[in-house]
Amino acid sequence: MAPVRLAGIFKAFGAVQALHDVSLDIADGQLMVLLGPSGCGKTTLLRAIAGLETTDAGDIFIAGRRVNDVPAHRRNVAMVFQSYALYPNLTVFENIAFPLRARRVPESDLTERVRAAAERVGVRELLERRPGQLSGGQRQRVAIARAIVREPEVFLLDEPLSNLDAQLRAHMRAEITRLQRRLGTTTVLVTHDQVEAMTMGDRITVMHQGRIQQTGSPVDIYLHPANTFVAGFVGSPPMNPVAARVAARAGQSGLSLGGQGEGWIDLPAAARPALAQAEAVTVGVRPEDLALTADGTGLVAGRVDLVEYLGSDTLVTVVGGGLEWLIKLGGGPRVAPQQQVALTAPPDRVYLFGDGGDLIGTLGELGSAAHAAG
Amino acid sequence: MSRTAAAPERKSLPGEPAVPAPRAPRRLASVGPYAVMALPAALVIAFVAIPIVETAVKSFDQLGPRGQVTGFAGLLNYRSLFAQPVFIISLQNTLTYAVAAVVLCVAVAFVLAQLLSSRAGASRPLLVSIFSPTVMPMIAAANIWLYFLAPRIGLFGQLLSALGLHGTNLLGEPGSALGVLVALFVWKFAPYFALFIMAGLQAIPQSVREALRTEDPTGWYAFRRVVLPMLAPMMAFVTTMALLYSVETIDPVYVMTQGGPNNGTTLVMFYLYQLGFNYFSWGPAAALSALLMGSLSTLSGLSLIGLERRAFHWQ
Repeated sequence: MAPVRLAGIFKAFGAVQALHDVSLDIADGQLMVLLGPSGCGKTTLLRAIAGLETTDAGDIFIAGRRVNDVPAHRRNVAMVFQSYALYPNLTVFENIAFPLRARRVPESDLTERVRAAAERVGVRELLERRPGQLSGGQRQRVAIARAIVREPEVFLLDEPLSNLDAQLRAHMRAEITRLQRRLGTTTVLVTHDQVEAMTMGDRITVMHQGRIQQTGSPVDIYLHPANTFVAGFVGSPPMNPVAARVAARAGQSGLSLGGQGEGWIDLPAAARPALAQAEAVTVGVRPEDLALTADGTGLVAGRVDLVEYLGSDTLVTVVGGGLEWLIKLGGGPRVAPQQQVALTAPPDRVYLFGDGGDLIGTLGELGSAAHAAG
Repeated sequence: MSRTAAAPERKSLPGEPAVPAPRAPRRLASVGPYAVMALPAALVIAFVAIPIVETAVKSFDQLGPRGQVTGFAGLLNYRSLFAQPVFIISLQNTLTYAVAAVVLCVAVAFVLAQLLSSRAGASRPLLVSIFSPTVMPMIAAANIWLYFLAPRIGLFGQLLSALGLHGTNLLGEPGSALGVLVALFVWKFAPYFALFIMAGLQAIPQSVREALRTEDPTGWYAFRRVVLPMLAPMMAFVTTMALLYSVETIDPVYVMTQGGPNNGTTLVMFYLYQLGFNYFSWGPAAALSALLMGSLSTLSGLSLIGLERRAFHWQ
């Protein structure tokens, strides 16, 4: 049983605050993805767990043991590096055997374990080769075999798929996920790729500028983004963010969308207390939640600017006033450029973010209904 | 044949020359590199190649006191060289000196490189003080050491006096004098070779070092199985260079001991110098030059071939 617990981790590199009060609980056997853009601190956090990086403050617990002062090799964690870090002068067999030899595992036991690990990742027939003779995907497998052979309490994977081509990446993604489920070992995976995060993670931690933005299941992260950063980072294409103001029109308070009030959303009485403090808000709607209405009424009216057919989907860019909306429609193109359309979205998929960017709630939750400006 | 050759040729349009491509630039491009090389090549031929060949040829001639050829000698120069007891002593001295100097120098360089590669060791004043011997000319370094070692007034002599060893003259005994030369060699060249070894250490990818950190409990196994093999080509290079430098040693002998006491520091290069410029014994001097040249170039050639073989390329 090896849960990992991080409590109030701080780390600075000179003037740059790489980690700022990071606290995180990773349950035993869970695959936790650290997701964020480059420079967000996710790799630093992983390295801190591995013991390759010291922290300025805070505690790290692995299986209930505080490991702050425990050197990397005594933490019983295995790291898979982005560049694989295979030993170029050793054969695949010796690479995989290395952690066992270093721990003086008896020869008979060692051979068996190396072969079993190689079998698991499908490099059994490559054991006599050297890393220089392997393809990227094969090196990746050897690196994983070297990690699993000593049965560590925690796996740490640093962007394990970033050096592979797109096809191989999808394949290895599924393979690593399957392997992790089978072994049931607590795993922390760092990635900047939201598809990897969504597909592989039991839970996702979104990081930005050294701080945790949100931790939750992939569904949570997608349906209930904690703030505009998470909403914009997760989802492809990203959520449409539209600046809006709380305003009154004809005695009815609502949200005026865009700089010149190109769109209008009525706010019922129930929603007003939640928005009482907010002057400027951001309205967010995911491209796949937007639909084109036939009768010309909706959140906003506009003109089709661009139609991009992707095969399974079609991306439509609609310009309404000064605002640009991206819509993802299933199937083939049903509209043509220059066509006048109106957009609508289910109220529980229209997100309202406050001044600081934090989620206030969806329109549905706030008890409102969307109407077009007319 | 002629038909197939003519087929792809483009027909000339009226007024167009049959061979449209101007060839002058191409000719220039093929001559250009040789023109650039001409001067350095001439210098190398005049001051390196010709003297080498001439020395090798003259080692089989009888030579007068001004170096003029007085007759054919065959292997006589070589025989008379090996008949000299001092030559045999100089060979023994050089062997002792070279083995001790190379082993110590490479070992010290290795430790230095390790220390300086760690963050704690790489402070600027420390680096400057360690590398200053490297940039100093050997003549200057030898003179400084001469002052240090002067009995009674030298720094070293005073330190020994403080320990109760009055009047110790390290350059006054054959064994200790050779030891001083070894120490000087290590002091002068170990930091220099440490630079090469540091470069070798830095060529090991950061992630490989970190992988080793997470896997090896003691560090010794990681060092022996991964770091040392990855460093091996560089170590072989450094060892070869150190060996060449040590066999070539002459200036400290000239400045500090003149081969004494009792030929205890007569190294082969100094003996060669004496043969020519003290005894005007040009024939044996040419023979010894040819021998040294042959053995040293064979040695460096072999080690280069070995390096090529052993160097492996990763990533």
